[in-house]
Amino acid sequence: MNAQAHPYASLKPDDLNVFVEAIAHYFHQISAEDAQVRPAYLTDEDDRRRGDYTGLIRISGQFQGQVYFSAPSAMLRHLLLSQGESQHSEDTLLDLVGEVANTLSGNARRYFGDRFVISVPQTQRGAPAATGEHAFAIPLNWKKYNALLIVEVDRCGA
Amino acid sequence: MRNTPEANAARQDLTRVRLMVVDDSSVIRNRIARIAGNGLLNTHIVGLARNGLEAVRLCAQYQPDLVTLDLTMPEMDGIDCVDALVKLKPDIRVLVVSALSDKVTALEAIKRGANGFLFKPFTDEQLVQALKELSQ
Repeated sequence: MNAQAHPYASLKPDDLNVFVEAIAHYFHQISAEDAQVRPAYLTDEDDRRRGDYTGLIRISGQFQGQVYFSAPSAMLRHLLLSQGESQHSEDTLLDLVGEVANTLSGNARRYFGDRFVISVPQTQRGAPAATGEHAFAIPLNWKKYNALLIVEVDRCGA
Repeated sequence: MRNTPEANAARQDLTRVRLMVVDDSSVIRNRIARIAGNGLLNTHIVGLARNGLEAVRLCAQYQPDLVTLDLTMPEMDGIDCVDALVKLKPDIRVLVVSALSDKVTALEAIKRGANGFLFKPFTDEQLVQALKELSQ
């Protein structure tokens, strides 16, 4: 396909740093223990099988795509405890995974501006659905848990 | 008013800041209510709302002095909700608590009548400080 005919372009590696910083900031603010966040890479098949719960934010405006946060239930329970929440029902785990996805996506507007429009969270049991070829994974480790932020966002007219 | 425990509690309630918490996340609603109710602040939770429409209904019913308000919510978003709350109760104080970290959004919320902005994710201390400032 002719690149000029395509109205959207994938985010650049530098663009993804804002999500790496947002993850580090989130865990620094929420808990006494920082998360270890690794650099972004293009997703592979294994990334689409990780996580007990997933929060999805749809991106629109000058951008198009979605951001997923996928985490194991034990990590979400631990995060709830660190916020003083004693209710650990499945609804609460889904609520939290959506809120984390929302917070990380919202924080990205510091870099992308208000034309990076985010939806309310959608949540689901299990890992993210199949992603496209431009999806980047940002892995993180907090305490002993591994989770993943997947950024599949294109910039309009770039 | 008599000096019964009930009467004393009622008198204390009259001096407390009436706080409503608005957020579509139950985790955030409960966390803010817990922090605000821990004794460090002179607040009394009068309502928990999941979206802007519910916030407007509860505001008319319970007349809060102070509201913490998320922006990204279903039904009615936070920016429209600021308009509605200020129209309903012009002296209401609104603390926007949102992950939307761009300047344009923060300035728009302030322009519509919000009195403060706290970015998510926040620490307990940051929330207490922000609520204290708007409670005075």
